Amino acid sequence: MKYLMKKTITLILTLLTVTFLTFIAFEVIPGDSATLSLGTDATPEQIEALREQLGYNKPVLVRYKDWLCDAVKGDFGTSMNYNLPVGQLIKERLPVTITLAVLSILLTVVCAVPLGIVTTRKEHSRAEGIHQFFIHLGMAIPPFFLGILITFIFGLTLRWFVPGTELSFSENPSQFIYYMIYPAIAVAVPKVAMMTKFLRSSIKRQLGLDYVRTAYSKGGTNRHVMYRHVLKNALIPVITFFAMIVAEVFAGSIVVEQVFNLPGLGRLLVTAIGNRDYPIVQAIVLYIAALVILMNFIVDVLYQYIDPRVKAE
Amino acid sequence: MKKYTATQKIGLALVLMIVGVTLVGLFYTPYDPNKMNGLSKNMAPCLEHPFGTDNFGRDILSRVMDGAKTTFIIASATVLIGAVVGTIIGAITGYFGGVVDECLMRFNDVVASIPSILLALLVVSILGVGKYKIIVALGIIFIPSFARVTRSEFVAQRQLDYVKNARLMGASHLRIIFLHIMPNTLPILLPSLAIGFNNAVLAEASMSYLGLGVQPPDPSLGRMLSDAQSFLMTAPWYCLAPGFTIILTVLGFSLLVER
Repeated sequence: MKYLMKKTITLILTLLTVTFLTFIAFEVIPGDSATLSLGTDATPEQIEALREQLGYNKPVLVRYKDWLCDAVKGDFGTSMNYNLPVGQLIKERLPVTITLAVLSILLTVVCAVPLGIVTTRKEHSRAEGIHQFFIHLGMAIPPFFLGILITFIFGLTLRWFVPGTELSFSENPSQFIYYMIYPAIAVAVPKVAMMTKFLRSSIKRQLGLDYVRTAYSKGGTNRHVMYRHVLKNALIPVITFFAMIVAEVFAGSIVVEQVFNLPGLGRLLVTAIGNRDYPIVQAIVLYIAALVILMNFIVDVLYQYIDPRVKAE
Repeated sequence: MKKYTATQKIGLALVLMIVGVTLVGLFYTPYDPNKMNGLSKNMAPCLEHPFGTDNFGRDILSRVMDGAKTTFIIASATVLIGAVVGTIIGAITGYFGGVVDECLMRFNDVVASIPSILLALLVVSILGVGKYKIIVALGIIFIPSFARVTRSEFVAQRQLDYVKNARLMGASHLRIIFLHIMPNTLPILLPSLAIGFNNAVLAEASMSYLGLGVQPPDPSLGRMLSDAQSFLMTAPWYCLAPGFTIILTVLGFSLLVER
């Protein structure tokens, strides 16, 4: 219980810091949205009136409090460019980003765990160097370049999918998910390599421990020792690493959405930065950061159930 | 001299090749990277243009050499900012410990929980786009990782006997930090410099690909890839040279520092 309390307090403090950072970051920009939306022709009185109306004349902390209270309710203000509530714009695009992220994470786990196990079995073998080479190669590929290659190979040459099709989840779920597999591969490959590398070193660390020797001396086969004994312990640190992968997947999907022309948060964010549409930028940064922080929190809490040693500390 | 493994040798060869070609590119490129030629648009790789030409008839090899230069300068400057500031923060907080250390590390955890490219986009949206702004943006987001690495080393080293001895001999804290402990953190710091460089190359390429990094006419590998994507049907080879330059660079450095 104490562990849970401590983690919850950290969660709240982290969220407060992140919200404050994103809020204050846009306070230091010269010129506010009042001057921006009225243009250069506006009289000082007009600007002053709009500033008053938008609440720019209150102290910073008061405005932070107001902004935070609205944000918690899902109100992030109005987009300057689209003239729509930011919350609505995000809600429309969230399914794309979430689907992409979930698919990428699934792909990562499904590929990385078997790869990590299979490639670690034969230690000191000649294949070791080759494994290492391919892991580093996987980590070196920028997701967007992989996306371009995938578009060319599977989209333009093999014609397995039509690049740039606009699909929506509600209209055609199966088609939508099928189309999303390709960007998900582009996002997942570097993460598969990262996770395989991490799992390999985790398994290797376990293989040197006494209990493994004991298991072997009791007559356990390689297979038995690996699946019954080593894997359970080796996967525990991978869970913490997994939280990092989640953050990386969101980062990767921001760029890959651009490659595949997906109407997700990433594309909204990039367009908004180009248009200096600050409420959108603020809201998306907050959304993704909060998602990642919450994932971290859930992983931390799960961790103590999986590994009781954590609670004892 | 310690023995290098086969993978490290491959890494070293890749790094030398890429750095060599880029150094040559500082003084000599086969063609003027920005010279357009209406007669040689979208040419496939051939003897005169080993990587082909782009939609304006510019030689892709020359542009990649020039773009790699921009990318490497940005990545080096970024790592320099991150490493210098991060190391100093990490060294001082790790050595002295206390409340400041605790607060900074908590803050560090918070920053680490935001995906780095998101943070870079946030900084860019505040500063605006451009070559120098992207250096600042990426430099800022690399500070925490260096601070973390240096700090953990300093925490481990500060209780060792040689530090106590130096203290007894009357060495000042600053002298101990920079002359006694710092050299001992180098074996950890150097690989993380290479990893940081790799991350900076990838981040710069992503940002420029999104159109939020280096602006034309400055060539950049990420920007070239974004242009190449529009001509994937007519000139699929366009994307290969810049893409593989990024991959080989990152692969080279990461194989080189792999233990």
